[in-house]
Amino acid sequence: MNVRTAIDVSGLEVEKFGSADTLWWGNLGLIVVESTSFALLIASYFFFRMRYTQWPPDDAGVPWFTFGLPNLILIVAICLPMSRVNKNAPNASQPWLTKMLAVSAVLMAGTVALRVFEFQTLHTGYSEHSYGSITWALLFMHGIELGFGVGDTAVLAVYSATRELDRKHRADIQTVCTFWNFLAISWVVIFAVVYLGGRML
Amino acid sequence: MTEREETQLELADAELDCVKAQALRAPGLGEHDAQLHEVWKPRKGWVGWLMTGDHKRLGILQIVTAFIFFLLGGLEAMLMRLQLMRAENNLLSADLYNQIFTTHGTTMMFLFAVPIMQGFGIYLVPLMIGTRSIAFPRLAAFAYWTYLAGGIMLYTAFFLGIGPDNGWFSYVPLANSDFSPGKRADYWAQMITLTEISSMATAIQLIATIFKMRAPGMSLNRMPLFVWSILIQSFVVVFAMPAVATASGMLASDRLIQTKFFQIAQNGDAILYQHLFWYFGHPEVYLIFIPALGIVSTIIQTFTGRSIFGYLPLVLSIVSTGFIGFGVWVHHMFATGLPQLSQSFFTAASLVISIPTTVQIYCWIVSLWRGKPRFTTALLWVLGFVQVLVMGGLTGVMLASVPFNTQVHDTYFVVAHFHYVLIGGAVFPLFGGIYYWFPKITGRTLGETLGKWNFWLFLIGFNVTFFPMHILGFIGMPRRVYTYLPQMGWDNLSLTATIGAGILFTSVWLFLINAAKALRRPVLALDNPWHADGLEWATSSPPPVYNYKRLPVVESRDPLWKRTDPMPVLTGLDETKHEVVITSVLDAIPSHREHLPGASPWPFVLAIVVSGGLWVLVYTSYAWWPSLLLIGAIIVAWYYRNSKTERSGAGGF
Repeated sequence: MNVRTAIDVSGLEVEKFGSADTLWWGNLGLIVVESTSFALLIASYFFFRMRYTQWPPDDAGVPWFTFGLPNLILIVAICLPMSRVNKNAPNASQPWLTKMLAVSAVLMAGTVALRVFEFQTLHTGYSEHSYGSITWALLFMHGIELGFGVGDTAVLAVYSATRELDRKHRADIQTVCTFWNFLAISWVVIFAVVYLGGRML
Repeated sequence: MTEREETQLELADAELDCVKAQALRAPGLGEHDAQLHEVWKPRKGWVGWLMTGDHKRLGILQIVTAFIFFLLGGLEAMLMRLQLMRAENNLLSADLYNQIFTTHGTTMMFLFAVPIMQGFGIYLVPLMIGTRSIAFPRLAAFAYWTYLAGGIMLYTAFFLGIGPDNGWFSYVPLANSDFSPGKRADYWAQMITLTEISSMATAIQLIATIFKMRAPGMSLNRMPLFVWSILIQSFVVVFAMPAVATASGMLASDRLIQTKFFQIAQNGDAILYQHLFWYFGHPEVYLIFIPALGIVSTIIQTFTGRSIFGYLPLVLSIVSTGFIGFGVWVHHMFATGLPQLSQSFFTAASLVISIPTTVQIYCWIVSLWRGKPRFTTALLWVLGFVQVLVMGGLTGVMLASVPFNTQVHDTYFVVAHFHYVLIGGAVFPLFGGIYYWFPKITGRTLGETLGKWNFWLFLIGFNVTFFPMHILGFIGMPRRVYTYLPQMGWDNLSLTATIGAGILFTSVWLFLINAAKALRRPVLALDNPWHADGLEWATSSPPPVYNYKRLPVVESRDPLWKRTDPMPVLTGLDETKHEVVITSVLDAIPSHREHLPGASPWPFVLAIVVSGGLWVLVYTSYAWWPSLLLIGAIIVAWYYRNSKTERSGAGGF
């Protein structure tokens, strides 16, 4: 088959950031899957509500804000450094990125620790009734995601400290920032369901 | 085309093809080819298969694996038919029968239908959109090995006599630990998790590939219909599959750590399980059916020799089928006593969804009417698809009506309906697709004479098997019974169905013989034996590991039939690396270049650990945190090993 050159792409840059990057779309796909899972768990929470005359049931108390509220504030607050990292990842100096990622990872580890304490203030066990099971499931599933957030950020902090960051790895850093924004937004919704739903429904 | 003509055509081009094949494979004949081959070549031997990120190898692995599961599921179906061929038969015990119908349904839905369609997507999409790879080759490898592990898990349990026995949907409360002690339902739940992880990972990367890696000029309105169908299927997967993963996760935790999601005494809810399952389960039908629509359009276009009629309505129909498919799930639950308002809504939605399918059938009829159809085996399968699907669709409209639905609920009428829909809607087009793309994948054509025997026996066998089941349903034969009394009057129709199954069995054997005969012949197929229009035919058959020597540039919706000569191509990629061009989502304007990672053992290792962890979870809940830690450690190792040398292409693909 005879061919002719119609387009020469040698002048195009290698790797781009944001939605031009295939990785951004892959990350979005994972976020869609996670969002759908959270949405189905929330729908299940309201479905179970229909089976009770009192919510929470008699043998469970309302969830306390003792650890839940500080954790909500911390999870949302971490979006600030992560947004700065996201914005500057393509061009920022590597020591700055390392420092920001390390600080963020430590703060994120704090959210996981607070999450462990949150289970103590739900005032229900996971195996007592469907109310307990679904509230634990919402906190646990989101908690696993928090753990992945800590892991991702910590690994990138160590990578940034020990190896040279190329454009691809800088795009990876942006991906973690987007993921954390998703975790924060989803937690605002889940927090409202678990902590306010336990009082208002 | 008769087999004789086909053979003559092949022989006439044999010499040319042999020279071409040598040019592709032997380094030194062309410096450019040799360079590309060196960069993209896979590692040698079985290690190369374990580590591969080549979408063609992964596609072949997935298609072949899924087809083996299809054969296993078919054998199970044959055993069921033999058991039911006469009253009070004792070929299978009740317990074994339960395991067999559960494994049959689970296999066909989770291990055959969805994976084989995705396998075709993985193999064909990059070729059809004119690029060298899929977006995330290692994720694709991980997805394949996870899927395989899920299949092995199910069949290990089955062959050990502890196969799941609660039906492919594993309804609670039957599947709760109270009524299903032992580990059978746990195996089902963990198998679901593995296959869903695989499907979702594959769907995500197909979406990214289709959106960002199309050849310059292939705007969305020029995209092949098969690619459209894979895109919509992938969207349905990412929105539907989390539901069954959630349901099976809840079921597993109820059984393993005594949560109370579905325990009625603790205000759990069995109906919630049905909602979650069917919110996935009905879209599942469409995510099997939608790629088949793309196959049908492709085959009709090729064998009528002119552009498909109604490209826009066809695309809109696929999109709307994907959307409406999420609004019909409750028609599987009409017998549960839901409020009348919701029953009315879901009846209406179930009726509405027949409209886009009807639009497509009219478009195909017009295409056949306006063109000059060449009745090859591939086209025959498509015509068979229309007959069978229309019948399945019509009984579907009947089942959308609540009074009718409750009357025939859980009878053989439903079995007949969904086999007409699923075999008609997916297996017929799939066989058509296999006959159509076999030369592309293997470089050899399947025999037309045996192919026609294969088709006609399948069509006749299918109708003889499943049509009587409509009547069996009407006269009251329930599903999932392992035997029945002679005075029920179901013997003759059951025997007829079993004879039909025998014909189907023979037909599939003929296909296997046809494939074996073709594979024993030397590579002789022409690059484009059907004179087709798709970009996948613009490279050699089978394609070289780098897909295209020069990446194509697209100028129209019919890239081979309506193009300027010489063919426009793209240059400027760094061919010493795994480099691809990335284009914009809507208009496919080149945006930048990207480097893809090469071959790696880590996806395989991760799949082993994930599946091993889930397997151990069947027996102990304590496995969850060591499994997560190990998975995390492997992902970190994978990330760190993904060094510059691997990214730049050293170490094979």
